[in-house]
Amino acid sequence: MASILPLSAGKSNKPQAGGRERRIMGNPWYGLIPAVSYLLFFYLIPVVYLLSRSFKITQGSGIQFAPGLTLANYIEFFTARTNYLAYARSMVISILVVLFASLIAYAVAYTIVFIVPKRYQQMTLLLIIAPFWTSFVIRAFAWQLLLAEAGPVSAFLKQVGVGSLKILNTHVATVIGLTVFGVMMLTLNLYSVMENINPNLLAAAADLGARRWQTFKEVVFPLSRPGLLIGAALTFIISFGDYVVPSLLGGGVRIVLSQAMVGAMTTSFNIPRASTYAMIMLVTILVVTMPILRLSRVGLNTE
Amino acid sequence: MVEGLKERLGRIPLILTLALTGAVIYLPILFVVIFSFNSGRFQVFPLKGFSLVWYQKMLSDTAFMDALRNSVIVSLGVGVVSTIFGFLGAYSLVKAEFRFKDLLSTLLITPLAVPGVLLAISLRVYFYSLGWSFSLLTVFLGQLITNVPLALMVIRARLLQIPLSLEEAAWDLGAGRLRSLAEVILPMTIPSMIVSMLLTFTFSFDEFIIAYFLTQFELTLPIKIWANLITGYDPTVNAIGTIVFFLSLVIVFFGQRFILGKPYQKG
Repeated sequence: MASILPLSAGKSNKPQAGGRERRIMGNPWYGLIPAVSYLLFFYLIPVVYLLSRSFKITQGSGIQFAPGLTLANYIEFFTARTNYLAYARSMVISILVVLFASLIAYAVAYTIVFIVPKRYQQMTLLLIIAPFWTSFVIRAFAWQLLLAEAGPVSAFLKQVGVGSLKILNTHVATVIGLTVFGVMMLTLNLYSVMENINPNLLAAAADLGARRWQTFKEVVFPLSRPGLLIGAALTFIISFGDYVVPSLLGGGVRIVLSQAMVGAMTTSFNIPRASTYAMIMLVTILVVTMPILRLSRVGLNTE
Repeated sequence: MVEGLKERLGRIPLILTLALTGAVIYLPILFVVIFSFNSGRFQVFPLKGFSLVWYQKMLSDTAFMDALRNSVIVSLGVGVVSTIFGFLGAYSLVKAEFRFKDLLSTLLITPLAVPGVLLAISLRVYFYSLGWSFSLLTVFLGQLITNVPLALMVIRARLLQIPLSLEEAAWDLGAGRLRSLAEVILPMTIPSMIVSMLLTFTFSFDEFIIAYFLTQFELTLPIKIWANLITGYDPTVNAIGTIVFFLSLVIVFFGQRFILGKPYQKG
């Protein structure tokens, strides 16, 4: 490979001569046609169409809409207690999940990168994040079994004298289930930034007399911040929009925003109402994650 | 570096946190595995005895086997098509110059930041208003939304590592774009395409919410599991969960070796 590389040193991007070279050097932008047109027709248009329905009211069969635009759905959302309670639940659950998952994942990633011996690092990381790629439904089901009233956790709590605690079908269970997922997501992001921290920086800090805590505060933390922020933003999105975990673990009574959205779609078949929830979900995600992602750009150059 | 006793002691809580986190991640799955071999009908200790009855039940349940077959069909389709679209798109993003390229690259990954339930509902309304009926085809189309960007990112990361000069050398030697693509770029991109295929296959295989909203009679495995869970406790799910979990794990471990670029045993 090395013998080929020097060829590029003197070359320019311009073809030397002849139509053939010019043709083959041409811009291969058309490779994007399949992906872009697919996403245009099956992602962008459907999402925009759905969101636009939030300014309509249904007429007739439920798929026809009354002419004209209205804010009635939004007024309904902000005045009905059940709606903003669902919203508040989603918000509180997501914030708690992001907080817990960030704290745990930070300790986990730090331990893997700086304490676990080098040769076991990748193996340890893999073990922690591998279940991330396995079935969401099955993992939620597994937690359901574990937290059930006659399940192992409550048996254990009874043994140690805490007494019987109802965890399943409350949002404590939702927070637990989502936090485990968030920990994997955040660990993955934190590992990739922490692993890139130049060990010489740590040695330099030590040489300059920094204690472990100072090194952490002045070197490790600022350099790992982008990974923390991106992981936190992704964890927020997943927690705020997830339907499976709140349904299987949190139960169907005190519903969250995604459950309200699904309910509007399946039980009342009210497309405008479902799309109002969708719009509010999307706007919330944008408002929360945009500043986080902007912050993460600061200090991205960790070289 | 000289380490004091204090610093060594400071590591203990961190290592404990790591161990505890690992335990919390695997504990629920461990219970599923244990109970899948338990002969008792209920999920309680003490265990009744070892048995393979739930695995037998799973194999003789045609609804489950149909769901499994449907899942494999859809996931294979999603894996292959996402990887092809992803490769073509990634190649263009890396090699071509055009206006709004940055904007387009950002737009292409936004589907990964939209909650699945929102994508699912938007497509359900869309297909409904187009008058399409819901089937495995609509599930396939729906699942591509997140898997095409994923494949594109995985493959793009690899293409960025290949020096532009390699392809130009092939051109200088008289190869056309297609030939240089086939003989220079493709062989170097194959590992990332395998990773892309494994990941998108797994994601599609485990995906629930989009499939749930976009099919009617042809269930995929996660929908079948969901249906059984909603109607009441069914120990057969333990057996299926065990198998799906280990299959996914094997695929991910295998794929990870490609992602990390080297076998993880090496330091």
